[in-house]
Amino acid sequence: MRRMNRARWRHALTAVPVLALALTACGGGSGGSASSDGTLTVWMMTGGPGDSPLIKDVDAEFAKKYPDMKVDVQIQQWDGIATKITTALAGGNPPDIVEMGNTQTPLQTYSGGLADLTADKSTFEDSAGWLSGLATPSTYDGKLYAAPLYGGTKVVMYNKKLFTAAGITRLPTTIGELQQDCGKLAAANKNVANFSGFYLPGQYWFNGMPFLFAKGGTIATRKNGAWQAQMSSPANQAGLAAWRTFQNTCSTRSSVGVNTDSPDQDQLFADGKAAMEYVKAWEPAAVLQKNPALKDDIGFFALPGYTADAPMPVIVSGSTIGIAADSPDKKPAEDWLRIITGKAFQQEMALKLDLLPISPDFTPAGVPEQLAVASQAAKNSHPLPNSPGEATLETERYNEQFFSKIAAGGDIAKASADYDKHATAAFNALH
Amino acid sequence: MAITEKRSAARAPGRPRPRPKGRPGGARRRMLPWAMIAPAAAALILIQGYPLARLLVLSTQNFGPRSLFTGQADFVGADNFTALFGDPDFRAVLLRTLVFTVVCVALLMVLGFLLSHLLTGVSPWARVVTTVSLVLVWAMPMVAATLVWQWMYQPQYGVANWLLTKLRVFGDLTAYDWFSHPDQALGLVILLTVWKGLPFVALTLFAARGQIPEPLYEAARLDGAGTLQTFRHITVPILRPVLGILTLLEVIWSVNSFTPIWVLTQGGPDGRTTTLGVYAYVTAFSRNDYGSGASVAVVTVLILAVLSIAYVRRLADQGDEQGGPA
Amino acid sequence: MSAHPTPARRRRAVNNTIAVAVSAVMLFPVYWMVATAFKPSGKILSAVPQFFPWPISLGNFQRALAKPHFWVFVRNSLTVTLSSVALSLVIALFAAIAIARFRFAGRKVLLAILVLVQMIPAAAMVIPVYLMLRSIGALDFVPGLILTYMTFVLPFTIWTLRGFVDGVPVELEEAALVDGCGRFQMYVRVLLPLLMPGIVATSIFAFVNAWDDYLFAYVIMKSQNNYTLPVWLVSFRTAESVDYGAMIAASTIFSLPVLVFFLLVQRRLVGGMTNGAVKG
Repeated sequence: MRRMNRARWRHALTAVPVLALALTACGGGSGGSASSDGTLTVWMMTGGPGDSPLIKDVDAEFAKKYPDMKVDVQIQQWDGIATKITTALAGGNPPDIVEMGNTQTPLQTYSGGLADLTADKSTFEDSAGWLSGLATPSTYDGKLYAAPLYGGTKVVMYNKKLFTAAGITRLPTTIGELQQDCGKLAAANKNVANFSGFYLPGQYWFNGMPFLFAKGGTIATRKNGAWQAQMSSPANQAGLAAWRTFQNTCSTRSSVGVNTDSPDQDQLFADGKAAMEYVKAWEPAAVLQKNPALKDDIGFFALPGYTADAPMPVIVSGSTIGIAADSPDKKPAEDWLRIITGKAFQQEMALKLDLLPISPDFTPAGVPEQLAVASQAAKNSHPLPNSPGEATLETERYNEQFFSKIAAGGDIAKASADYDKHATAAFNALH
Repeated sequence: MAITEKRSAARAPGRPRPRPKGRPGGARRRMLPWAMIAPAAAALILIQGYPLARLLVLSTQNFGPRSLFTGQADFVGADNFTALFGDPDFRAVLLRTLVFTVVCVALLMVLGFLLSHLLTGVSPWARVVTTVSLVLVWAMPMVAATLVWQWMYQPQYGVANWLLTKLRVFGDLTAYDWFSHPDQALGLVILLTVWKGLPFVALTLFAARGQIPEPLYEAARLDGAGTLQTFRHITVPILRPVLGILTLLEVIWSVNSFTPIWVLTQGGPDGRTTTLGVYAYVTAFSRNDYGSGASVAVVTVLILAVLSIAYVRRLADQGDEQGGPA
Repeated sequence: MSAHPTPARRRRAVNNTIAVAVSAVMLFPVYWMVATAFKPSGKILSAVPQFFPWPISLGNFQRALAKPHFWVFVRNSLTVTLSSVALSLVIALFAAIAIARFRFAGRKVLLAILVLVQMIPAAAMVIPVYLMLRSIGALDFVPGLILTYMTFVLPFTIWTLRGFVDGVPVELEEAALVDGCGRFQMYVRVLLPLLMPGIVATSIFAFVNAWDDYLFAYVIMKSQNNYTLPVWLVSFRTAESVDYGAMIAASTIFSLPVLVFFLLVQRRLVGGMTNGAVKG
């Protein structure tokens, strides 16, 4: 018995040095990558323009001016990115260039890790035409700390076949007409279980906010440097009531508490369980992957307004890109930024990646229909409050929970008063 | 019972602790425990000590992202703590955390104990099947587990909703949205936590159970002891140290639980599935208020420490009365 | 026992049935993950659930493995995880024996500190650990991450192993010492085999702990060459969309090493104790 134990122990013992070897072996190769040595380190986000072969075109253009400089594009993940970027910029030897989500940009412009680009703003192509949803968060205290990289906004996708079958011959021009169409579609599809004329998850606040903006509402105002959330203003409360009516009229009961991913709204559309949805530019492709038969049946229009003269204002999402204050290569970094935010690359990006260019004037002919509609809609956009607190609300999923509560029939006056208290504190927390 | 007496005789009070009998070098012997502790102590002091001290300092500072760059942070005394207790949501969070923790830990310990017992009474092939199943559950990354869980219970496409509907007991649940009802959402989070945590408890208890010599049980059975009696007189007393630390750990982990709640419900609807772990994360990372985040951590540790102080003392004392200092 | 073969056998059959049923229930979500991974990415959801993935599609796995730097992440994850498991086990084993078998000044304080350290929410430690590593210039440095993981599992490992040491009758050690074994020899020959189940249980714990961590790895490591596999696992979620098919396939791949690690050590979980020194 004892011999057996010894054999077992010897076996375990031999494993230890191997592991110890592995430990010492990894001690080498690391230790901080230098960036002042002729390498431009660029942090870009997964799924964005940096994560596609297109980025090579930027590097090629850059190489014409800086043939001796290497560009190292590293792809980062969204989960925990705010902390990641802040700590990296503060950590010494930071990346030269970082991409940020537009709601997270105010956190970085506030923190002080980004280089001031104010003096050179005019040298960026068509910087006067930048979408306000991207340009506003890039600015802090009147100074520019980042450039817009790409935008995104949502449009209504509809199923042409279902519209025809329900006897709808003309696209709705007001939200009232849209609601009537929901009724027609529901009647025509009453044999389809859990059918929605317009499938709208209750947590989808990107759809809810436009109803508030169109009533003249705004999320928050700033006076003498102090923010005050305005959710309980009469305009916003009216907008919330209108949005609730729309959600409850057009969408299923089971959609009140969920977001677009659970259940996947593209699957519902592909399965014919929804005739309309509020979608991002890539979603039509996802629908077609699930149901290729819909190829010729998908159309798009901007979310119609309360009256026929203008569609609802939209929220622009997207990314910005800035230069580390501690970067030793600011000059080349700025040139790299000029290339990626320039018209040539932005057009290529729109055509090949379905991403909205940072200026409506950049949108080239021949983009997919949803992008053309989105680009048009983005001309009337409302920026979110330019405070690091907006990123707080976003990561807390506070807007999602608020709109879901409204959709579920919560008391609008009380819920919006709660919103103001919470959001005001968040907006003023870092000042 | 004869068996426990045998056992307690081995641990009778006043019995000296083991010492190296008849070996020279008393000083070396006295140094021995210290030498054995030294690496662990050094690692903890060097790698945990500084961050711990820093955490305490942070909790008294207004330390935001800007402080990371400047290194400057205002000392605010107890302001972070008063703000925390002034938050009306915080008390609700504490109460919810208590309920969540009690339910999770009770289920985990009882089911884990039963499962470990079951493992001792099955054929070898069934033991292998069960332990491999348990390890597979354990091995599944938490993010994936939560995602699958979310899928199983989603309206319209959820396989669990489909199966429940097929039972024809609860009516048509295909389009039922569990996550807009706070109690049901919390129930699903608890179910997920117990499912994911069970392998660890069951396998650790099974491993500990394996230390108990089989003759003890055989003798007990010959004495006519039933299963419950062997639990009471053999299994539980011998497993007490492991049971104790497992319970304590599960309490700590339930209080600090984050991923399952966050991915499944984001603390909603209307913040009503937010527990202390989610609250701590949101404070530190959503609000980028590292000072307040540290104060939440300090409060968490204090609460857990108060809850477990008697318990930890008993655990730490275990065996102390059996002998003087070595 | 042999006097009543039939009831014993019947009880065993009942137990086996319960064990299989429990396994089936526990395994279902795991099965669902694996089955989903093999479905074509457009067919992951269906109103009537598809219990068997047919036709089997490897597309999800192809997309998951096509991500750049995958093998670099694998190497880093294995290095970091195995090193921290080995280090924490060796260090904890000595500490656990000392705490369980000796009285010494500061012992209780040490035990209390071990528990307290365990109570801190990990999220709150990210910034303090970052500040420490920054001050000694060990950011983006693999051994820094190994030591961090090691100290995070150390308290648990010490506490648990101490429980296992307590479960070993001291007479066995004494007998060995009387037999003329040196103390170290005694530990190796007598105590260690008896502790194997505990060592296995805690090493799986330490393995999973280091293997799964995302937050510390992501914040402490700066360059792509130092990232670990959890970073790969979340890379299928972009600002715009989530590739669920690839993510679930990645999760399946990600679970495999834990299973392999378990299968390598599992025999020690069951065997080793009753046939070891207790009888020998």
